Amino acid sequence: MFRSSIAKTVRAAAPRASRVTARPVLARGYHEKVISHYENPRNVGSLPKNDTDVGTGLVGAPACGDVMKLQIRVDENGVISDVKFKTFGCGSAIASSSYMTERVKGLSLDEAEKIKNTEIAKELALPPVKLHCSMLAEDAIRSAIRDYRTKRQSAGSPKAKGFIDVSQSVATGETVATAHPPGSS
Amino acid sequence: MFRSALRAASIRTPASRVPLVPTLCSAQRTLSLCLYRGFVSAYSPSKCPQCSAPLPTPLPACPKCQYIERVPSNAPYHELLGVETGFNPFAVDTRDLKRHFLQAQKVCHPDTWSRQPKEKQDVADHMSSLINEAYKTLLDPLRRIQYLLQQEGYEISEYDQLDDMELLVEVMDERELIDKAANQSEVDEIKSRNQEKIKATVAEIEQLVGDRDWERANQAAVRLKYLQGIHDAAQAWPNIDW
Repeated sequence: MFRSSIAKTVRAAAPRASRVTARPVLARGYHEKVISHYENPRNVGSLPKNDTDVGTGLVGAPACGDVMKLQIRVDENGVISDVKFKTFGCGSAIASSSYMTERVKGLSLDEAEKIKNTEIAKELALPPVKLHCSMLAEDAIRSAIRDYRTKRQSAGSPKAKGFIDVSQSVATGETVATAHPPGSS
Repeated sequence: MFRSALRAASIRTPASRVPLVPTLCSAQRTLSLCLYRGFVSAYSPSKCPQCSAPLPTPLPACPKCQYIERVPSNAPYHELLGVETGFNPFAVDTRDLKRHFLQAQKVCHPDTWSRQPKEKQDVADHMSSLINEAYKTLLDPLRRIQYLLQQEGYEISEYDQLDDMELLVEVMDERELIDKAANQSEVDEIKSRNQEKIKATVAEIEQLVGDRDWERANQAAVRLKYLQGIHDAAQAWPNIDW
């Protein structure tokens, strides 16, 4: 009776021990921030892509077969008021996009555009082989911003006619001024 | 399709295609074909060089007199297994492939060489794992086309980004549908629709490889990879992480 209960205890303890050891192995492979974003991703979901104040970025990495969708909603002050993402890919890709959504919320488009993949990689302590995941996230936000701007341009200004749109390229420093006289669209 | 198309083109030099006897071929167009054939003459004698008995496989391994010789790790997979390539190395009969694989393993499986000196065992070990790799690669259409593309100098960098918007939208839609699926029959519907696309893409790749249109074969291979991803996700349903 006594002996058998010991045996039972030992048997019961064995799987628990293996479960305990399994966890640090995982933690050693990925930084805890990656795991946190992977297990509890922030801002997962979709925004209505046809809304004029929503920009959608859709990007993919053919080498690993990842797809990433990042959407922003921009308020009248040009500030990102809402952001959602959906990523089908590895843990690092999910973590990178999840982190990106947290990072850009409340930023202006110009600020959001300046976020570099190196910042994400550093924050999530991504190993060199996973750097491309952070590049994907950078590409996703830029493509969402581009989509939003294209939409606004083609829709014209919904607020008022009779203004001049001046934009400066971050890459080249080139300034473009577009006139929107009253009565045009 | 890729931003790095230039990069792919620049590495597509005879030097990086390597492997065996590039000097045998002069014309760029026939180079790949020559490479598939080159192995036979260079590395696989049909008679054992030691006892002159006919060898059962293209491998330099003789079960009669226990002669065995190391084959280079970059030996073309088709040649290793002795699979007929004809003009289309993508068109592989999987039953024929399996038959050749089993024959090759019979000759060089480490168990067969366990009573031989250590050096011979090592060679057999190396050859056996090479043959496993060759078989796994040629058996799966995606791995097969990736292998052939690699031989042609097309290697997808992990930094490449997909510019094919249509494919991206299609993949995202299907993945989201799987994610939102309420029951198995919905998933099965996605899966069978996807299976048709896989079939069509594999057929397209075979055609393109036959035409030696590697650029478009490369694009089709990316599509196949994404379709495979959809298949795997459907297969794993409802095993969702979050």
